[in-house]
Amino acid sequence: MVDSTPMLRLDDVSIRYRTSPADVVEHVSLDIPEGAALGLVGESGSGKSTVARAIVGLTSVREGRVHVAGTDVTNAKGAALAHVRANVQMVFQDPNASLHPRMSIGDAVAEAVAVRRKLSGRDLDAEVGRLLDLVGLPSRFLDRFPFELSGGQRQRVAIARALAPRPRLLLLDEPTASLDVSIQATVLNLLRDLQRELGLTYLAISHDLAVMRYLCDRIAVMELGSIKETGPATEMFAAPRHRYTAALLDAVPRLGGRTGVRIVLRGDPSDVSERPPGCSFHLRCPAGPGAVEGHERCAVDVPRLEGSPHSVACHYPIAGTDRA
Amino acid sequence: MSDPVLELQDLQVSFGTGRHQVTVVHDVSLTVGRGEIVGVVGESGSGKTLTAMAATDLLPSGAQRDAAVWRFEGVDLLSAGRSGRAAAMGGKLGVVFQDPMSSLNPARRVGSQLADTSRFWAKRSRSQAHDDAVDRLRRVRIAAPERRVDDYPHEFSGGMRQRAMIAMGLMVTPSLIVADEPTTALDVTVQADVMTLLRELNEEQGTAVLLVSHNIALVAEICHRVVVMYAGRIIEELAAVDLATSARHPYTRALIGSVPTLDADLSLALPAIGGAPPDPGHLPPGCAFAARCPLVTDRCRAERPPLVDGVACWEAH
Repeated sequence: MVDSTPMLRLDDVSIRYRTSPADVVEHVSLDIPEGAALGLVGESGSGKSTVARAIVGLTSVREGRVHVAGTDVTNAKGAALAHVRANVQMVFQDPNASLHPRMSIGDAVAEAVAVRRKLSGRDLDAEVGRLLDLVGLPSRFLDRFPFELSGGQRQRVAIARALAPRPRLLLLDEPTASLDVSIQATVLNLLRDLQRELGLTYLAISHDLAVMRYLCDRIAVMELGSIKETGPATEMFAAPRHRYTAALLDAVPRLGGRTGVRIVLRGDPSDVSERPPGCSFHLRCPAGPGAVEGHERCAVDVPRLEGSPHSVACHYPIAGTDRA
Repeated sequence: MSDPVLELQDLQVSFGTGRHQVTVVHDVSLTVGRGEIVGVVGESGSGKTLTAMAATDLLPSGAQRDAAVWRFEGVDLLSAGRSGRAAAMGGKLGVVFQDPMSSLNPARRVGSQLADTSRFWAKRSRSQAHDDAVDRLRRVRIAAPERRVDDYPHEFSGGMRQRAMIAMGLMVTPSLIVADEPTTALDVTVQADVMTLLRELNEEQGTAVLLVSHNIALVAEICHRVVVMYAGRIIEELAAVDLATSARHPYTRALIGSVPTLDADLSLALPAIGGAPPDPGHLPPGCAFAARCPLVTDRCRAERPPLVDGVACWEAH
């Protein structure tokens, strides 16, 4: 066995905001091996962005441990925080909000390099040139300002800045949600190429399941703070075992029209303050106790995430070809 | 088409004057028939939203509209004044925008905002209008509408606010709902619910819908007919069922190809469209898509293809 330390390990992590009445993330465990890409999907309020924020220390973990490349970085301070900053970088949804409007592209990238690495003069210029080249921006962009760039080009600059400290793990929070579809394709291709060329590890967050399938080899589906299903992306999307995953997939509009009847969830995504006992999904579930007789257990026992490599947290998972 | 709800011919929308005038919508002709769902797709800057705003008399100040024909339910809006246009469309037109929070007053209860519409246009009494609000909230499937009608907008979830906006459009019986990116800020599950609601209104009451969206799959799924815009012009117009298999314009086809799908072959890179749309102030003399088009010829660069048989492309004519 070679080095089996995962690049990212979350061990039974629970997170609560000071103002929230209940945990917004509940007992989440995740392993991402080096060089792999995991996609976190779920509706707004499912806790997927909170997980990413906790990894880089933007929010504190109430219980459980976070490990980055073997080092415990839970609620990191001092040396552990430096370890996180050296290894983990984030790319956000809106590049307009993460670039300084009065700073040229060259300066913006140089700043990101200089924060972590002592380079100056010609070496710094060469490194900035290398980073812009990596994200596919020609050197003539060095002197331009964000307003002169298209949304896709701006997101490339944000990616170049994220790559500047030579991170091993990138957290991608809705990296293409603010881009037009024709631009989205070029950024997705770039992210996939970069991962392969640089051996990067990704934790990606998106509400777009097709984007996640394209970018990630594994998917974890979150609902109301906990993981409901996780497994290899293609396998899980072809044959989901949790009805929440099935409903998410079913809601995606398809160009060629849909086949069969849509799985309709009852009610809106609720809030952690209204999380019911038992399975948090049981009130909306088409196989919950309100819909199927004999399933009263769902309102009492919290289902455990079971099975490998495709695991599901459901007392009555979808079996085989059954899509009810 | 018999009995159209909305007719627009040769619409131009521009900003600025004289040397600084920039036209952002060119020669758009659009008709929405009674009971029809028409989709307008395009990327940012394609002019799709300005077209919808021009059609509903909601253009921002500074924008100038010019058209050969502009009619709502047969009433000529070009010769009507501002109040004439409001009288013709008020109470018959529902408008739903992307961000419901910016269309709802945060300091007033949802129900009383809905009731305003009913009292003003249908001359209903205060209590009748309140009952109308409860009824419409129930129709858009807000649970416990008798109680929810007294909530403030912040007490609603994003999906509920968007449904409340649709409910506002339903306070009077609309013959047309114009929805501009109505679900972009919402989760996919809620998006599907809102789309189902629009389709039900269309099927049960014959309400026509003009749906503006960047999401080509969404438009294909709910619409009867689709209009594709690029750089301020309609470049293709076709039946929604033909979109997946029979689109003829290279831009439409590239747009369809560049969207990741749930059954795409993952060993291939996504076919991306290189380059960016042209600056509306400096449109090329020929086809606006020429610089990015895989089928481009010298003629495309020199001469702009007109919209003939639903497609504006020399290679597809």
